[in-house]
Amino acid sequence: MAEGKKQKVMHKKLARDVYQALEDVVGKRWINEKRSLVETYSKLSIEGMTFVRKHQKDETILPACVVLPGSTEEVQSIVKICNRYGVPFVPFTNGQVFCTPTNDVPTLVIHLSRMNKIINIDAENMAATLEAYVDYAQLQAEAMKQGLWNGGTPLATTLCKLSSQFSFAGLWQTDLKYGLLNRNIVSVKMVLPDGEILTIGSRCLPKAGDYWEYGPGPDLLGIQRGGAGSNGIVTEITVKLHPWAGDETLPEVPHGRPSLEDVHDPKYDSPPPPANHKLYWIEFNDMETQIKTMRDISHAGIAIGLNATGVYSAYYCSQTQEMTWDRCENKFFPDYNCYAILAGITSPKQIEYEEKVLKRIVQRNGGTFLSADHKPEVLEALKPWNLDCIRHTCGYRMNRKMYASAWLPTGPFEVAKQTQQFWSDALNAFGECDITDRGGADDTPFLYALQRGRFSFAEVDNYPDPTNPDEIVKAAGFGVYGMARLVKENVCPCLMAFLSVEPFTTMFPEVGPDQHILFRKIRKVFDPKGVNAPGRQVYTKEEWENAPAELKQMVNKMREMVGLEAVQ
Amino acid sequence: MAEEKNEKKVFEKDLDDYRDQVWGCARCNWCQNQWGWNVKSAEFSEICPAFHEYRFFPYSGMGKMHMARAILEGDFDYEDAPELAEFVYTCTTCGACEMNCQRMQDKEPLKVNEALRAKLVADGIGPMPDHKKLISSVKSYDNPWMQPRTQRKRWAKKIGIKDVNKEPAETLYFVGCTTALDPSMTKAAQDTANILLKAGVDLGTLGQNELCCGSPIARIGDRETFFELARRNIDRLNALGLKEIVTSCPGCYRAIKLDYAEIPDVPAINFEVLHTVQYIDRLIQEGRLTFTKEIPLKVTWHDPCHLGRHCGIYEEPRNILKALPGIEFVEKERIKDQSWCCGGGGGARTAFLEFAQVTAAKLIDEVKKTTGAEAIVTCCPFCEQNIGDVLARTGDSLQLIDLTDLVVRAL
Amino acid sequence: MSVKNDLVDILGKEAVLDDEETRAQYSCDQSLVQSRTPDVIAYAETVTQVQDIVRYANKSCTPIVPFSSGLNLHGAAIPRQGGILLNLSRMNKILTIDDDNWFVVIEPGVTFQQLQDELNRYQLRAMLPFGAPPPRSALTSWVERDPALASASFEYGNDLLMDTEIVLPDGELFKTGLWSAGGKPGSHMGPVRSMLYRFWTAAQGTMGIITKACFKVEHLPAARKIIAFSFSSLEDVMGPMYEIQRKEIGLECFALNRFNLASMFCKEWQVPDTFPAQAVESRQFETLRKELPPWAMIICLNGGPELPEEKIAYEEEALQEIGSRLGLSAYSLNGNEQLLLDDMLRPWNILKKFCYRGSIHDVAFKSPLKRVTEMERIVSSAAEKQGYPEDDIGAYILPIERGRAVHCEFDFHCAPAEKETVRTLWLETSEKLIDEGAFFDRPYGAWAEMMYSRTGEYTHKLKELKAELDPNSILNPGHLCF
Repeated sequence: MAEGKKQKVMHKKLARDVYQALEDVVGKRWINEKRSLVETYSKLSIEGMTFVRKHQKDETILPACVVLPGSTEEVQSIVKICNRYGVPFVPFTNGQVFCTPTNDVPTLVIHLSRMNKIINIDAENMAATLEAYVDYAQLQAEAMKQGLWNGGTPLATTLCKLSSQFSFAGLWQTDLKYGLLNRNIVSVKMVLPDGEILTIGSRCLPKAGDYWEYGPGPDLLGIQRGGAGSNGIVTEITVKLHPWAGDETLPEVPHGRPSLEDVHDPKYDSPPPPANHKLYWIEFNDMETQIKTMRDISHAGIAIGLNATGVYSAYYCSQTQEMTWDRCENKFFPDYNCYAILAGITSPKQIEYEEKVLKRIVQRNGGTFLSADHKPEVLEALKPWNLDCIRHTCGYRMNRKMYASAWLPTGPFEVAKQTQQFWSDALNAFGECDITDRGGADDTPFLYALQRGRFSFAEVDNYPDPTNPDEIVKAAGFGVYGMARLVKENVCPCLMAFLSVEPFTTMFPEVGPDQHILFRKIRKVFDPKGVNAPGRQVYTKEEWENAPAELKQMVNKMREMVGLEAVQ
Repeated sequence: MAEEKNEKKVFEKDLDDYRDQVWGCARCNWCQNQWGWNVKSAEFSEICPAFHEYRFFPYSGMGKMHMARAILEGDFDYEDAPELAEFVYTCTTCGACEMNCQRMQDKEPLKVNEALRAKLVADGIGPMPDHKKLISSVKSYDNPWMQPRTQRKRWAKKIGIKDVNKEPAETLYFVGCTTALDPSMTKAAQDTANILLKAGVDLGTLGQNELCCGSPIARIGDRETFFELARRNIDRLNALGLKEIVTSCPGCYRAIKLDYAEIPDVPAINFEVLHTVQYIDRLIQEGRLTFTKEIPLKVTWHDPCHLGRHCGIYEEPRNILKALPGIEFVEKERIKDQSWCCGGGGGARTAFLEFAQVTAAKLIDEVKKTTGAEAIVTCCPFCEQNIGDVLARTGDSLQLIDLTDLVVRAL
Repeated sequence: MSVKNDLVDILGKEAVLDDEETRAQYSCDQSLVQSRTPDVIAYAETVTQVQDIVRYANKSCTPIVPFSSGLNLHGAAIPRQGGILLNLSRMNKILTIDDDNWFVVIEPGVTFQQLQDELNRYQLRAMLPFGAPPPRSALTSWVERDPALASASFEYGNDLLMDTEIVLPDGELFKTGLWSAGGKPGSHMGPVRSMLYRFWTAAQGTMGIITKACFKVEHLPAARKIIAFSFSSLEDVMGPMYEIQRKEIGLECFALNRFNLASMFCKEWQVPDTFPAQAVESRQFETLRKELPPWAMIICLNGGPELPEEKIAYEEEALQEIGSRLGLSAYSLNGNEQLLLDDMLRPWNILKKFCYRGSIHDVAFKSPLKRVTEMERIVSSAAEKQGYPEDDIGAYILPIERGRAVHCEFDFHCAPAEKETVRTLWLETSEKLIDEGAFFDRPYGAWAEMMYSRTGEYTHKLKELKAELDPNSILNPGHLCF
């Protein structure tokens, strides 16, 4: 337990005239600065350091105030007030990551929970326009009624809001066919940090409509995506829809619904796949065979999703943490596996064809299907994936303990082998937080196939104890080590959480190179007054000079450990 | 974390026993939203009545976990946060948050909230002022409605039902305070008794000696009063030599069947506990009830939280409805474990009537938009009070019918 | 010291030209963009040379116009303010063909013909745009977002650009994609989760010079089949196109009017080497364009690497079901099947259309599928108003990503003497289309002013970014909104 257990943690409030100005915009009901309320906006989901700062009784993690706008115009008014008074702000949806204050100046949280309407589903043009708080489940439910869907859900949860995923993530189990959220954005409307409204996509031209994602000319979507909430607030996003082969709703679990009395009974987690979809599980003896098979399947042009699940199955498909540990210890799930999701979009004969091809490839490469004849108990346990592969719901079981420090190296399939090696090195150097750190046993990562196998992401994670700040810091150290190691080995840490934020943007100048210099210029254009999560994605020179020394030391220590020079 | 399973009973635990959980709340937001596989529309995808209405996080299960952690660690005290009680009590304790959180995270935001309530009561901060009247009534009259004890038996005047204070019966009809004392609910008591008697059940009641089961008191957080009620009830009921009790109220059902076992140092009950719907379903399966009259009506079933989500009684009422001739049964979107709360529970209706009624209005809206039903059928006095009030106030043509009413009509 | 001499110091004498004849060659193309002459032409062969030139240009405030093949046909490489025409055509290496991961790394001087020929040796293929000339720079074409003929396919015809290496306006080198971390290429993602590379697309070199890029390629299918349907009007095409795309049938799918069809099938015409082309009278063309149906939709079914005929079989069955349900008329290609199959890989036959008058001034824009016929009517009525024969308009309709958007091209053919008349028609048509919401996402020439005057904050932010990244405004000034 941190020292000073009974030490209070009090937040700094906004100046009264600022508070009043904000209240005049949204009304009394939608602004609040009360102590117990701001508490609920401070410890985030997968950002381990927010837990540590709670242990450390760090008051700067608390927002000064929370405001709930109801429209783009209200967001704009709020942002303009922040510019006028120099008040930093951060946008907030679910609170997964990167939505706490970035410095010790009283900071406003703009929570978008009221903006939760699906504005329009254009079935003819296969696009859906959403407000900021609409999540994947809501979108899918509405789109499926019209024979469409959005192409996937993130492995985190179907509750992710598409607007915040624009800022940061958007990894789906069906990336094989549909790519990431990147590939599926038609337009955004955003309030820029300077308070102007920017529309990107064809809707920026009056009367054009909302169907085309680029230009005119240089495409600003590319600049705005991935800003970690520091380059404006997306208030509307239009996403692409795709033909959906299934029914209007997802099938029910045949065993019925649980109650609080029997919620952990696995029978409730055994749905069938959606109509016109099939899920196949394949086991391999080694990673080489796994990779080769995944590559062949990708290239064959079959399946909409193809992933090797690492430790995820032990979490997603286990109803308690005890089951997860037990299955990891006993290697219940195959170390090397993948699943393939087949969908009969063109016709039922498409599935027949794809099954045939899949079996051909697996047989040729020496994999084995899980079936009634081969590990039926494992196949049974994997049933949550039948629906999770389309509408991922069980993903947050990864956080049953605490999920931290994701590495997400990117590259061709072989990146999985490199990841496995580096991760093993890290575990051997620093020690595990939990048995599940070891991945799908044998330190195997999760492996997502993207865009027809063009490239892939491997993922490995730590699971520290949330009540133990030392363990969380150790897990964070893994993250920094991972970045350093991957950069040293020229493996793109593309999706790694921290590399999109400071101090890592500046402290890994190898990336770009000197990505921080370019990002500073971009920041100057979009956030001249430095109010939108200042220093989140990139420091100004001054912010870098004033950044905490211990943070720089920690990163430099890891840099030197892998043979990179320290950054001054 | 090497978390050891805590063997304490639920009502032995205080906030400190949930320390690992409140630290570990993953903020997945499943406490606010319907289980992903079951979502059928955007409009009806949320599941937490308080968050749905107020949109700030303290109103959600996750918010309670975070506030509880801060209180536990002394990050703030009651003086710093006088608003705390309001956040904690603006909640119907429907358990939707815990349903999904258990399934996802194996954590217990409802129990954390109830432990938080217990702490607020113990520290003199809670409950809300209107709750205190309720507690005082229970202490004075053995019911929360400030009604004299003799009123409890009025509904049974014209029904030949045994008085177990005078003669034994195999089956006790535990009526429940609201069903017995609210004039708009007593028909349900009469119908229930008539159905069981017609089926030849050896049925009796406690009459004016029935006590409040203590469920509303437990939900509000006054453990001391609840424990006392529980002990008295257990002693009284155990002494009757019953085979079983059947109750009309899901709150009573849950309290007697589940909650009493979680109180430290009380004896176990020595009888089976059933709700009306279970009993009637059993009678139908055994062929002891036959239906001869058609009821041409399109209906939907509302799952009361304490009956459905908390105790898993989903199929029995549906079996009954499907057995009634002429009934066309349709499901609304949020059902069973994902059912939208009526707003009537957890002390919300007493302290935050507007919130309770807005919640009921949303339920009515869902029924109308997703079923085309002519009637909502349920079997819970709290649900019927709250939904009934809103329908009456708005003059809505949608009917609200107790399941026993339909059964009687069909006999 | 002159610019030329300074460049000679950097590049060597053979790489710098400023004679009048050479300069004149770069002063115009077949487009309507006003002729303007560069001061000097510089040939770079390495990235370092490009960087040095850019640094020099900053120091001396000399504009640079990047040039790879000059076959944009819309004036993108015509200098507006003189300066250095930076010719990258000698940077023409295919650096990597990765047949495990199906991508290729090329320099700006690599042409479509060169690339496709080389890829085919590896049983791979590039996804080429319709009507891009064989010697067109593949890198520039894709970076400029010329839509691939296979754009109807969400997976295979779009988002072809992955990693890039860019010389920024200050001369520094920057990489996107996996390259950003210094390793091998193979993804568009990076640095981190951004999609930065998109900022340099359709930028006409105003924000940086791409010196190397990685693109997706696909396997060369072992089996393919062309199926076509004929229609009386474009309006009749739209419904079936929508249904076919919703079933995700076929890889390539597009519609051509009879003018363009006739051009492709005319054996009396050859694919021109230069543009503007030499006009050639052709009786066969005139006959064809009377006999061919007003519109044809062409679909190419591609077999996968495994069991290709079976893939084609189920797609064909699904297509026939739609065709029979909607009563579609199958169009017999009369021996042109092989021509079309070849064109799927090398879509150059359509360039024969230049033989009609020599030049073409097209309106090329994006529209939602449901408004395509409305856009067609705008084009027709503008032509009618100007007295331009409707039968002389070539049309190409390409669904993108299963029909979410449609790329439309309507051609106005132009003999030298007709330039001013056609210019008036072209300008008027473009304005009318933009007024009605046709989206010219690649705003060449006069389209730039038309678009950017209407796109408010988007334009404003582009200008601010340009001012920040290229404060001396050296990269292709006068283009877009700069």
